[in-house]
Order: sequence, then structure tokens, then C-alpha cells
Amino acid sequence: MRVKVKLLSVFAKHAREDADGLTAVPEGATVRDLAENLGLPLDLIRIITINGHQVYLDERLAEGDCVYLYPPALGGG
Amino acid sequence: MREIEPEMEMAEWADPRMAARYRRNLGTLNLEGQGRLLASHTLVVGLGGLGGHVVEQLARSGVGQITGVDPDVFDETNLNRQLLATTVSLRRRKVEVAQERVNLLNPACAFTTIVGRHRDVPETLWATVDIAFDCLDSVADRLDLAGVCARTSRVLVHGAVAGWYGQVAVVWPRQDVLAALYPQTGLGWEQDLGAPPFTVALTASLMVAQGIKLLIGAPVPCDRRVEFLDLWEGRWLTTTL
Repeated sequence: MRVKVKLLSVFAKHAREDADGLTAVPEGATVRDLAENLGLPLDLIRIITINGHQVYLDERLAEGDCVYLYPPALGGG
Repeated sequence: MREIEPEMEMAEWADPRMAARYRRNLGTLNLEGQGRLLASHTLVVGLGGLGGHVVEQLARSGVGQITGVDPDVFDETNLNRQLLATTVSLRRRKVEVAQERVNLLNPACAFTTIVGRHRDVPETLWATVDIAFDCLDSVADRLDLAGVCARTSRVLVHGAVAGWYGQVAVVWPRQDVLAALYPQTGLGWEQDLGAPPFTVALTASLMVAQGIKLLIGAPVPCDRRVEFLDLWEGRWLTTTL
């Protein structure tokens, strides 16, 4: 199945999208599986939303989900 | 707090110039709240992008005493976003420029300078601080400041930026929110997303709004929440850590 993944801030460089801008994940995959497949540092993931609702790493993904992953910000401007 | 019509409150100020200065705060704040600000002391640690805007807004709001802490001088790379960085303030100490700015804005606001870091703030000064603002740019320093605030039972208003993204948290003593926000390993990770003026100013404004609420005794949640600002997509997310 494929999901839309929005990687924010420093996570953006981990994006792995197909020509449709979607990311393939195995059936039954969780957010954790997706994050590990993309090489995201799990200890930096601070907010996860699926279709606008906050979830956690063990949430299962479904076809067409839109997933946002946020890391913390560091700078003092 | 008392609910009094602003026009009625004006008459209570002994000095009409003070009444005019804070006239447009009233309605948002009431007289008691304005009085609490005037009697309060805030510590602003870091006078760069966030800190410059925080100091500006605290002084204009009418906070009575601000202590600014920063070891650095302004340089050209500060000019895109740091309110106090101008072509005439380059190479000057940030605390001194901030002090001059506050004196220009509001002579009723006393500005104390500390050229150094938060560990250089004397204990006698800490004792009079109501709340502190974390405007630092190093995670290690942020965590250390949060530790000092926890030990001294001071509420810390945290803010940070990364490109189009910002975050703000009110850190109550011993809640250890920053330790949950930042990983204990890999603190050396780089975050080269830039620091644009709009993200900095918005994040600083949200920090000040939270700080003002704390200072006037308005309710501020103590549930370990962190606000994440996404200016790229125009989203504002709240989570608890």
C-alpha cells in the first residue's frame, strides 16, 4: 500500500517518494515501521499525525493515509 | 482579577503619562494585571533572534524589570532576524544594545545586563526573578538552564526555531519537559534549516504571550504541553510530552 508522508524540518532529507509523491509501505505497517524504513531517528520524533489526528509510533497505517512527522526545533533564532 | 472598565482604570494612575503608555494594553490586561507586570522581574537568557523580540515585547508590555544575559556581540549574520542587530550595533555587546533599546522604549523598565551565561546570574538576582525565558541556541545550555530553573522553582518559557518551524513550551519546575523534547543522545545533530525573521518573531511572540499570562496570574496549563508551529503549511499543533 502507499501513504502520503510529510517529513518536517530536519526529517525532510529522509523523504522517499514515488512519482506520485507517495511512499510504499507493507500491508499492516505501523508508523514505527515507516520511520525505520526511511531511516528516521526514532528518538527525535516528537509529533505524529495521521489525517490530522495525533497518534503514536505503534499506530497502523492504512492505504492513502497522510502522515506527518515532526522533530523538535533547536535554534534560538 | 478585578473587572474594571479601562476608562475608569485610567483615573487610578497617578501619572497621566503612564496611563497613556499602557492605554492600549488595557482591555487585554486590566489595571491589576498591568500592575503585576510593573512589579515583575523576568530573566531573558540569550539576546539573539528570540531574545531580542522577547525583550522588546516585555518592555513595551510594561514588565518592570528585565535581566538580559548574553556573552556575545552582534555580527552581520544576525541582521536578517535579530531585532537589535542593526548596521550601527554590529560588534557591540548584545546586552548593552538591549539595555539602550529598553531605555528608549520604556524608562519605567529597569534593564540589568549580564555579559555571560545563565550560570553567571548571581543567586541574589535569581531570588528576585519571577520567570525566565529560554532564548538559547544550544541544547546543552537549554537543558542546563531548565535544571537551574527546576532547582530554584522558577517557571521557564522555552522557545526554539528551525526554518519554517517553531516550538514553545511553558516548563514548570521539575516537569523535565526539555529532557523529553530533546534526546539524551545525539545532541550534536545539526539543524541547518536557517532562522528566518518571521518564524523567529512569531515564536518569540508566543513565548511572550505565555510569559505575560504567567506574570499576571492567568491560567497556563501545566500538563507538559508543547506547541509546534508549522509556518510552511500553516499548522499549529499542541502535544504533551
